Amino acid sequence: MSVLAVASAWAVGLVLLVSGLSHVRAPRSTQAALSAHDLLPSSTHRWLALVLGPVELVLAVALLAGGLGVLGGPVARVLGLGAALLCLGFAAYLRVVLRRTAGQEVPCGCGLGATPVTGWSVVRAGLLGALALAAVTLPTGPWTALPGAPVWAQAVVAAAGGLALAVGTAALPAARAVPAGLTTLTGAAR
Amino acid sequence: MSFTASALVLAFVAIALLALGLAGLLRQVSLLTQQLDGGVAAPHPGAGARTTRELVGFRVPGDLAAELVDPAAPHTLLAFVSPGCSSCSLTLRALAADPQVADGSVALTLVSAGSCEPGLRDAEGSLRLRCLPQGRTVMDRLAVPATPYLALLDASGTLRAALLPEEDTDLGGWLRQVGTTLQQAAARPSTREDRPS
Repeated sequence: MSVLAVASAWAVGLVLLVSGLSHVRAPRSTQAALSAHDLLPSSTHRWLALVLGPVELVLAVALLAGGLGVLGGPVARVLGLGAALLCLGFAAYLRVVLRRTAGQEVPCGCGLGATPVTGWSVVRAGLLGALALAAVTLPTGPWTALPGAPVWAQAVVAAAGGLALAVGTAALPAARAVPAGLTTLTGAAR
Repeated sequence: MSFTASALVLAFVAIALLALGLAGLLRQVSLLTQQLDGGVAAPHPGAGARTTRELVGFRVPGDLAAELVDPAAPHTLLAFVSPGCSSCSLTLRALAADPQVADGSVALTLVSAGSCEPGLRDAEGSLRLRCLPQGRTVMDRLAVPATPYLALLDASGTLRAALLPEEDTDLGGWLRQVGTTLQQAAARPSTREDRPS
């Protein structure tokens, strides 16, 4: 079992778990964000907002279980590929939204905090897609003890790495994008 | 890939990601600190600014940008002037004679405290010239301390430089110097807001 594959799977799984829970809890926010993006037909917004959360949760559980070795190899790979496609799809979608709404501040609806769509949202989705692809393509299998690296040490490194990747990726847009209010002279006086 | 190599790659990627996030957060803290320095009770960014120079790096509000920024030019030079001010006339004539202003690579927007006619006459020869009459409100909002006063905006409406010209100020040299700085910064994000694209 490659530590990189497990950490990548857990990172994407954790991020999808958080965003999936957020989308399931507040489908109206997702629907409002889709409307603000004004990219997909309005008739699809409602069911997309309802479906997105559960899909993310299923993929998240699959990735987390695959990393633990609970889920079988082929099934984990197929679901990991699904997660990669979903994240890369998000990246492409957000890129188009960013171009169409240039200069405007529209909500991301990504389920990871109330951040607007920025270049960093696209980067985050792309990074998650790349991590999911890494989890699919890198060798997996049962945990085996290596010289100088017992199974528990590998698991700890993978868990810590996965958590760091998840936090670093999920928080990237909020950390990088300075709110417009901080850079615009709204109401600047003498 | 061995366990050690995998762990190293993982650590490097995680550190890079977290460092990017931390750098962004530090910038936000820095901007917030600047606002607090301008007055804790300041309701808006720049509200505590006493001069335009303190506002360099900020973006002018959208309504002002639409009036002031020439979208066809990479940079717009705002010249705050008053009718009947002899040093304003001298400044505008010097600017109109500058090659960058004459060929339109720098647009010239006059913000006049009164009517536009005297300023437009003095700035004749500028390829991209416009004028905003009765611009006292704009001057107040941008904390212009006196006329003549120059402020350079980039295409996004971000204030890049400001200058209170004196009789012996080499305006051409100032424009070239600012232009060079902006070209060097072109590789970096265009405002204090850091965006990949």
